[in-house]
Amino acid sequence: MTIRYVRSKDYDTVHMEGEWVILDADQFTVTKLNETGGFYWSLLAEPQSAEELLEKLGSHYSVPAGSAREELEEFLLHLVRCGLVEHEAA
Amino acid sequence: MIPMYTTIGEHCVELVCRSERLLAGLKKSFRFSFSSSRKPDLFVQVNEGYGVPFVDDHVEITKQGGVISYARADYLLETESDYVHSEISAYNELALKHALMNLYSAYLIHHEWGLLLHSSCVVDRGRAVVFAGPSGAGKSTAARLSQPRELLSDEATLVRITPRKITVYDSPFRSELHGAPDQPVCPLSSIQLLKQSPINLRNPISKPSALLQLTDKVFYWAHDAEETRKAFSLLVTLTEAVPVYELFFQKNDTFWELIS
Repeated sequence: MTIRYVRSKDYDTVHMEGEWVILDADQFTVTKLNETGGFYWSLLAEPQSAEELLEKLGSHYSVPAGSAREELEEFLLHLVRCGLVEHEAA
Repeated sequence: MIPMYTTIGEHCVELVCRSERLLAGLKKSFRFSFSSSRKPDLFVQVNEGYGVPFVDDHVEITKQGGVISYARADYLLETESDYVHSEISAYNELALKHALMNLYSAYLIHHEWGLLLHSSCVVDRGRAVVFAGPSGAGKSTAARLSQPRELLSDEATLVRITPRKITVYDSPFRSELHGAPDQPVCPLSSIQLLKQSPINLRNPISKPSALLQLTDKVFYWAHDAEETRKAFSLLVTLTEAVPVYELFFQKNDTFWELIS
């Protein structure tokens, strides 16, 4: 079964100097994402599998999908740990 | 008890203190008068005889019937949801000071006036310079080494934040260093995030990094998502308007060569 990821709720975000800052208003914690992270984040408003994210990154930035996989997996793991992203509800 | 009046930032506070002992403590940092030419913005009643000596910074927040309660081991602050009418019960002078900081910070954020930042601040050639950092980073040390420059704060800097202007007011929430009263309001020129070091070095940091690092420098007890959004929005306005630097500094006044 393919795991799909989605934002765990609506977050407030600010885009500054090419990076994204995400506010968790319940906890008053902020998380900073670089441009690629922000690109993934914008897509995660809707459920996405890692494959779909890589494919969209590749077509947007001309990045070979394979080269970004490890970084994406780490990114998703981190966001899940922070509670910003969760697995799509079955 | 007779009400007394004091000014914090642009705000007039009416205070009724039922404890001579706590009042004597307050008078070290706050200047009081027995009348006010303007309508007070905040009304505070103070009682003593609550809790135990300082334990830790943990504050328990509850809301019931339009009243917000902030309970720490050494103080209880009960306030209406607009923070205008409040009652504080405190164990001692330190507890009362912290309860007032808690209240005033919540008031500033609720009314989107500005923030109390955990930092020291001095005036250099008519412009305010803020030193922030974690406990032990050297905020008071940097302020002391900056003498004879005037001091606006050594613990909680009072920053007025609007999209067009960022200014710093004299803060009565002091730890140990007391400046001359009636300091002028100063535009904020920069914020330094302090790191003690054998060398002096100052690096600008990006606005997203600044936002990230300043979040935990705000005196704010998160309890309501809408209030948290206001605090965050004020921080965004602040970081967009004011340059933030990492300042590696030696324990002498030579770091001013990098700031001035």
